[in-house]
Amino acid sequence: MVSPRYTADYRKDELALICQYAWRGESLCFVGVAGTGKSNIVRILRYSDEMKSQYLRDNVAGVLFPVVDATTWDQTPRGLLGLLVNALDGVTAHLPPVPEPKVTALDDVERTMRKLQTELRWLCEHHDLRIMFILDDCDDLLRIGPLHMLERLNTLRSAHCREHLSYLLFTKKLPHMLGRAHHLEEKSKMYDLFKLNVFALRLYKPDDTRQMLKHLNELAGHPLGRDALARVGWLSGGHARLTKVLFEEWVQYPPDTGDLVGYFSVLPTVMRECARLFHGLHAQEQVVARRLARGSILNADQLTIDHLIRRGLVTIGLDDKVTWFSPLCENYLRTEKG
Amino acid sequence: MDSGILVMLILLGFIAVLILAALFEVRTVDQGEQIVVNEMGRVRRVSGPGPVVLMRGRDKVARTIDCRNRKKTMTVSDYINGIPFDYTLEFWCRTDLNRAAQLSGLRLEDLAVFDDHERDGYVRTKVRAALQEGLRVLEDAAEPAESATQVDRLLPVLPAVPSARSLLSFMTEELKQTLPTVGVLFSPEHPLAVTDVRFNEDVTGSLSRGHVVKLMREQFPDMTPDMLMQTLMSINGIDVPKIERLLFGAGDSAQVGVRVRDGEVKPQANIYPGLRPQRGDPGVWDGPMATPLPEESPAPQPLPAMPPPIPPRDDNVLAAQLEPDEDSQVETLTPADLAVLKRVPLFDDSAKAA
Repeated sequence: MVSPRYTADYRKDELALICQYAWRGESLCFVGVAGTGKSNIVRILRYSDEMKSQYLRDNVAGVLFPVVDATTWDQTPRGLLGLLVNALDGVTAHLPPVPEPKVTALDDVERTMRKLQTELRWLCEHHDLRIMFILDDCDDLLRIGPLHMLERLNTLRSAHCREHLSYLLFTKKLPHMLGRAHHLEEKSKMYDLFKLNVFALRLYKPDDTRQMLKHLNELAGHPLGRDALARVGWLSGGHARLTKVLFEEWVQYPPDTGDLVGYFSVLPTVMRECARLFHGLHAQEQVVARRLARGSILNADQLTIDHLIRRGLVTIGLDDKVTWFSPLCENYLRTEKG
Repeated sequence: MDSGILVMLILLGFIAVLILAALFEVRTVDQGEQIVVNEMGRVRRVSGPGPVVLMRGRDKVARTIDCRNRKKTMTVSDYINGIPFDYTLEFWCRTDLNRAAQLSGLRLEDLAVFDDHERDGYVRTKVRAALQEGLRVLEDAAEPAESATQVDRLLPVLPAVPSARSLLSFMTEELKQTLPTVGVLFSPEHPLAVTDVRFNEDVTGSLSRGHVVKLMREQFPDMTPDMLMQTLMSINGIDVPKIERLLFGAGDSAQVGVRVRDGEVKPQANIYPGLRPQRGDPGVWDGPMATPLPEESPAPQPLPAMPPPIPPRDDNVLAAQLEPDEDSQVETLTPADLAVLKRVPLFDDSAKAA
């Protein structure tokens, strides 16, 4: 029998926080680099009542997590509302149908908006359900807007749904920076919903990385020993996708040298992963990241380094030395042109 | 002899009177008035009512002051809990420059240089200041909750409410202290009173509209917010031609409505391709639906144009060929920006279900 993909404590801090907020009808945002395993969090919230019951207890059925994959958004207001409607329909299939609105709007967007409002009101008032829309990968949503489209999300939280409807956003960058072009921070009531609840989605804890590797190893038929698995964990530093990439590379092309960092650093798949992570950072983060990797940090970089520590990308060793979470990424930054 | 002395004395007396009459004059100041006497251009005294002796050539009556105890009515504007209102206040006071100078410690000449009209303006300023201070004390004492309605916020200044009475008491004490500084004394035998409270049209309008909305909701509980708004607009006399669309319920096959523009009613229907509406569908015109719309019916307005889509980033390019993000070149993260991000709090395992 294969070990489960997740332990019972998988991402417990994050899941507990999300469930707590969903129950209270409060919105929040997680900022995490690409490949940190946020899709797993989304999958658990959407499908795993067993995992959620640890945090919601008997209230699991009373909280719904419709998921919107914002990467499929067609960049129109109608498209966004349509995604919300589809996501909501996906989690309410087991419930009786919602009465149609009495007045049907001529305008497409208005019609969809009313349908959504009617459904939400029905679910919140009649069924006393909490609904937390998960907006996955919504960087472009916040960056492109327009603002009035985002404000519709706040409008959905009418008098009837105020304490029942909330949002969980996943972004790679700080949300207010993404929406700076249309003054998200100053003008958006939607942003106000979660502006005090922007959390760093850190990389895996060692236990989660070990469990992931154990699961992958068992699925593949135990090709790697304990020692190799530990080295993969060290090289990836807890980055979920990098862990998977390294595992697959090791299984396919086992290293024949003691210089593991040098060996894996030049692999295209690894470089691609490091590049994706790096280029998903803010410009200032990239600059400081480069300087950190090259040992040329300035005094002025301290705040940004603290910020990167909060993101889990930088760690402080026992000798107070500040280093990147992964020696592979550090090597990439040292040699990356810029 | 005696008669000669007598005549001399009379003559002397007469001459003295003539001299005095030449030097002085006696002005009679009416009851309820006083006069400001300047000596060589400077305020010397405030005298009256009754006879007042003035030296010709030296003393000059600068102005007459009305010192009757009179009722004043003033309308003063201010804000309570962010809502503007007008108070019409009534009180009694009199001008008594001598007494006011004693009470206030100011010089008589500083108080006497203003005429009655100017003094009235200063009294209004003092009343307004007393009201402002009183409102500040009221607001500090009891801040309304965030969920407080407009009525809750206005309550403290409504007459006969205890807080309004204490506001007037505060103002009375304030005016007793401050009015002497402009030469006026407050008359406590006639208490300060509010004779009128007015709110601006936005407030009264919203209170009235709120009442109408409440009544309508009670009568028509199924009415949607949009229909409610349209009906309210009609009640308030908004021009019907400005309402461009009235919405009807319809089946899935068609959307039917009416567009009103410049007083002309034009039918309009949206028919979904591939779906033929049937007679009997709610709101469908009783006629052949396959016929096209009349030419003069305008097409439905398109959605506003979206900006051109940003091409998706190609993540499958080798690291060496990736270009830096264009946006990222102009970003600067301030300490405030960096402070937005928080750590996830640690979960307490003991709170987890068994």
